[in-house]
This record gives sequence, C-alpha cells and structure tokens, in this order.
Amino acid sequence: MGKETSKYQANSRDFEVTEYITEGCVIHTVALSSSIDKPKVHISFSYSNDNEYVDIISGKSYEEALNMMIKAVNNRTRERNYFKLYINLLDGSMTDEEFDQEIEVNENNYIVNETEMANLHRVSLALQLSKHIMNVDSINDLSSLFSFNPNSLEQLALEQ
Amino acid sequence: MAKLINSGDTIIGKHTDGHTRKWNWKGLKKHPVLNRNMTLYECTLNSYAEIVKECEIEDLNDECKEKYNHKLGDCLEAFAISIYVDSKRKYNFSVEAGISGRHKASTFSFRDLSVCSITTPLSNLEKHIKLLEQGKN
Repeated sequence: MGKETSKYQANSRDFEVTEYITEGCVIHTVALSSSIDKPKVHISFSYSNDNEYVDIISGKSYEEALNMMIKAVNNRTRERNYFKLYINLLDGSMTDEEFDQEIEVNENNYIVNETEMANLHRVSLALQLSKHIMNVDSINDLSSLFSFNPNSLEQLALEQ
Repeated sequence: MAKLINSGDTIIGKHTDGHTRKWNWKGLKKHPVLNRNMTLYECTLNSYAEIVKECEIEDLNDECKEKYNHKLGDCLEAFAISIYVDSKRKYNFSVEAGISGRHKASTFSFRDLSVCSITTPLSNLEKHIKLLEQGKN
C-alpha cells in the first residue's frame, strides 16, 4: 500500500492529509486533532473498483490475507513433516509399515490438500502474498501453498 | 495415440516413462480428482512423458475418463509438466546423455498410477491475472 502524508496547522488544530493507494482503491483521509487528550477525528473520501474500500476499513481484506498466510504456513509445515518422516524411513528409525501407518493415521499432518477452486480475487491476493514467501516459482508451488486446485488455476490462466 | 502440447493437457497411465532436464520432488499431495495421496514431481526444461501401460478401467473415475487422455502411447511434450505418482515414496531418476538434444537429461519410469499435466509458467499466470483485472475495471 502506497502512502503520502502532508501536515498542516490552522486555528491551533493539526491537520494530517494522507493519500493511501492500493490496487483497486484510493483513500484520501484528513485527520484533525486539537489536543493530545482529545480523540482524533478522521474524514475519508475514497474511490474503489468494487467493495475494496469497505473491505479495507472493516478489516476484511486484512483478515483474508492473514488467513491465507496461516494456510501457507500450515501447508509448508505439512511438507516439512513429510520430508522429516521420510528421513526417518531412510535412516532406519522407522519401518516401511510404520511409515505407511503414520501417514494413514495422521494424514492431516503430512498431506497438502489442493481443493480450493481458484477465482480471480483469491489468486490475485495469493500472487501478491507469494512475493514475500521464499521459493514460489511455479503454479504447483502456488497451489500447494494456498491449497488451490491446480486444474482451476490452469483454467484461470487460459480464461479470456 | 496422441501427442499433447497445450497447457492443461493431461495423461493418466498405469506405467509412465519420460525424461526432463530438471526436476523437483514436491512432497505428498491429495490429488483433487482421484482423491488419492500422491507424490508430486515438477519437471521443467524439455519435459516428456508417455503412457507405456494403460490404466485398468476401475482406476478411472468419470472425470478422469472425460478430461484425461488414457490410451497407450498418449504423450506430453512441453517446457514444464507436473506428475502425480500414486506412491508415498520417492522414485529414482537416472541421468542419461543424448536424450534431450545434446544435453544430459534425467529419465524416469513410474510403475504406479501417474497423472501428468502440462503446466503454465507462473509468470504467464501473473501477466494473465493482471490483464483479467484490467479488463474487469
């Protein structure tokens, strides 16, 4: 999110004029404060593509991004758990039967589900988030991280 | 017997052979169509996969029969393919010379049910999503 702030003073009041720019939404805000112990008053004017403005000020955008990041961390942990278990199999700490049984019994700890159908909004958000995550180099990485159905991602990539 | 070269094209076979110049083992995933726990490999750079043994008809659900190519000799040739193999263990890839032009390539022979798809590069998806968003606005 881009941000530009200018500060003014008039009639012993401080004015802070800020312009926030996100993808699909621009918010102009004037914050007024007369003294430290009194609450700040904010006046906002915005134009956005869809419900972006309401989503931002209600915290919905933030919550959605946070939930996706939590999902990404959990999916990476599942991958790590599987590779750790595989090392145990290779170094002889567990038998083939124990390996199979562990995965079967605690499937949720080792297997990444790729069931979420991709849509434009979710994939766009996932692509923005993935810029801050290591080793996201392919559609498979994206689908494994955010549980997208890889076929639906491919379909989105071909959509006209 | 079909040679497939477009993004999203998929083959499913009981035994699959092929080669690639670069591959990555991506761990265990639940395949969204077969609903089985399968190991995912990502092959990039001059990738090729071919069905050398067809699936039993009971291995294929309706969606597989409708969307996936499953005849003997059906093959994929592309820059990048993803391969889901019905095994919890890693397969070995062996390096051989003179397969991909003058380059060495890693060959694979999967002897479990495998689903191979041609994948779109991530950079293409990103560009396409931007275009879709611009079109929407």
